[in-house]
Amino acid sequence: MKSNDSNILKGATVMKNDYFSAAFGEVLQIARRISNDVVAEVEAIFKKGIESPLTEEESNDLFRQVALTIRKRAQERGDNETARAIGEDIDKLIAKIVTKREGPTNAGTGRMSRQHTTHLIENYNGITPTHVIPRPWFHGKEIPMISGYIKTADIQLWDNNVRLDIHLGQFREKYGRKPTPQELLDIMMSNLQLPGVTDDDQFKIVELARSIANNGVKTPPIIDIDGTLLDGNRRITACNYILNSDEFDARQKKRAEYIFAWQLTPDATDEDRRSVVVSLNFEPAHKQDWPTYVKAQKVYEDWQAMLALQLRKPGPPLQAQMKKELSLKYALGPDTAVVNRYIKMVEWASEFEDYQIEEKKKDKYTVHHKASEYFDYFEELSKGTKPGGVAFCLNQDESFKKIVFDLLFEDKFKNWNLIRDLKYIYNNNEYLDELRKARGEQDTDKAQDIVEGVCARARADRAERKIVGANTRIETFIKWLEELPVKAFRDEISEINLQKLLDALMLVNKYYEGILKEKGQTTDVKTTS
Amino acid sequence: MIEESIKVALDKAIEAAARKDVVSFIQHIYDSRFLDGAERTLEDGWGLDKEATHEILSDSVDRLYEAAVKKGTILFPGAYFYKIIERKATDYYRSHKKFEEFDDTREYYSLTSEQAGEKRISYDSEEEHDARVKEGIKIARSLLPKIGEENVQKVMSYIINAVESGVIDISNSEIAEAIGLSEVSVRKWKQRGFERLKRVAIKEGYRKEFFRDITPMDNEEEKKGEE
Repeated sequence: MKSNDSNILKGATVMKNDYFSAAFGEVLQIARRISNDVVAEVEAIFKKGIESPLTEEESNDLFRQVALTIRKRAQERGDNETARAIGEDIDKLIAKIVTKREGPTNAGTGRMSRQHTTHLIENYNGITPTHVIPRPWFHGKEIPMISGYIKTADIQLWDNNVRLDIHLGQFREKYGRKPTPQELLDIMMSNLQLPGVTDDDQFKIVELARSIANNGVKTPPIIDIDGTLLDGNRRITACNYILNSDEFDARQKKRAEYIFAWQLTPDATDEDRRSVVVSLNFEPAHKQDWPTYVKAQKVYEDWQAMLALQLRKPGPPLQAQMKKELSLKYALGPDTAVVNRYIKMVEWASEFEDYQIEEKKKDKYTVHHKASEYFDYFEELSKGTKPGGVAFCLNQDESFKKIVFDLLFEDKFKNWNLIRDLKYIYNNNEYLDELRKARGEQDTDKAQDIVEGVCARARADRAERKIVGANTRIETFIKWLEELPVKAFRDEISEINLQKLLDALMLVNKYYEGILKEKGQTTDVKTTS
Repeated sequence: MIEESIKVALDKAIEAAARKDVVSFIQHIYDSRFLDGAERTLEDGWGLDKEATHEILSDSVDRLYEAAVKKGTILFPGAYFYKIIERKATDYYRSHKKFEEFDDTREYYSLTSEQAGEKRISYDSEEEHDARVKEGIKIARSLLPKIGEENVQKVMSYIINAVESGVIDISNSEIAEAIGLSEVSVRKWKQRGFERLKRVAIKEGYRKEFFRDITPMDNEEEKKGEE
């Protein structure tokens, strides 16, 4: 053996390969399984059997298969006595067995031991509890329900909600018990600190609350006869949020205080409950959000209508107030950022559409589809209205803007990031020519490559120019600064700008000291005069 | 507390099977509500669908019937029945999940040790599985002399023999009776035996990812006792 190998073996054991390790592991597992005391597990099975017994239908199905299997295996083993005893008429045998159960009498009905403790309000604004007609279907099963109003406070969040599995597990591990209803609410509201939960509003309750505050609860939550929620944990949490938040007014709070709900009937079985949960949580709702383009257009139309009602153009404070109202109306929250964003995006999209339809004579609907498809790009186009920004550059040069609109219409931008580079292209004829070339290119892939290439070059060039021009810029600035009369510092230059200048010079000083240190020279600042 | 009449129903089922009264056997199984609880457990806990659950449970009832006919008596029918179901469910997983998650066994073995450790259930054919268990038994037996005290070796050797014989359930009382120790001692030696076997195996170079979380802990009471 080479000394190198022996050294390796000396310091560490040779790892057995996965096959042998897995083989040993499997035997250990079987050994554990067969030798474990499973008293607790067996008790749990018995308990579950009593608490959630199979329905008669489920029992029939299962025991039919049991009888069939025993008969088949008995025949295979040559145990004719057993096979004969089961006989041919399995259904008759099962009917006899399943209806003749001994022991607790409630077993076999599939009912859980739930008490009918929560009732819908007898009369709420003239609405009395009534059967939901036609009977709703859940997971292929028709399940009777009663509809009516209920006080939100009377509903308990569902603490078996699979959505909360991890959170509940964490809570149990930390506190050694189930959370109280209030703690459950805190978990849903992300108010209760649990390791690994970093999101401030993990279940997006605030967003939902804003929608409910404006529109009420649109889909009725489903509650059990004891008030436990089977479906609607988020909605009920959102209602609780509305009731406890200053963000909402009395009218909105009222919408959340009493809600329209569906309730199971006292005859509901465990299977019914299961069907409701499966249907509403596992089967897809096939709901698709409206495109941002459509939502933004609606907001924009309302914004225009609000402006039209004003005698004169509203000043900034009034505009801010109007935008806040608009934001609340569309459940976008008290912050007007989204409304502002939508308005800018729609303005740019409209300009794009007008140009394509009016000047380029493109089909109206094709243009609308394109605007919708690239709607996010308009956000980038609208950014930077000050010198050096994308919007500013485009607004300075109509022909440049038209090139960009054409490239967008013809799918010639590979991604929205490239829009940000347009500000480096502006005013550079060489780059503009390349964009024109891309516009004329019939092959979209080739055109995309050209656009991407010119954007990359303009970006790199810009960075380079920043460095290359540094000395000239500094020299010019110093010359100008030194020639500036003292009174200008006193009378003309604002205090803020003076402070900024001082900060900048201190930064220069810091850099300079570092550079001198690197060169091994003294850190005393040298002066040239 | 579970009603005694319900627990007794399982004993009655075993008695009925022993005299080959299959109809009474099924009747008592039904009365015991054991399958009700087992079906809910497999569906809710294991995430199996109704078809799979019924397949596992009907196979398990047949196995219980056959065992009772052969043995004449089963000391702890609840534990015995539970372990049959657990084993059938694991087998079901082994045979079905294989096709869902892996194209073939090689893919399973190409996983890193950590990945494989998490996917303890092996995804291969019955023959391959049997061959691997045989190999595992050989390894376990080769490690037994290295796990220390004689009583620990005896207990673990008894359990490994039981694995080889395909025993479904082996109680502490049975081991105690067979090797002349008290039940309390068996529990203690068993605990120690599993821990030492794992430790020795790791020392010998077997990858711990495949067995580090296999504990011999029986029930809550025992866990507390250990603490």
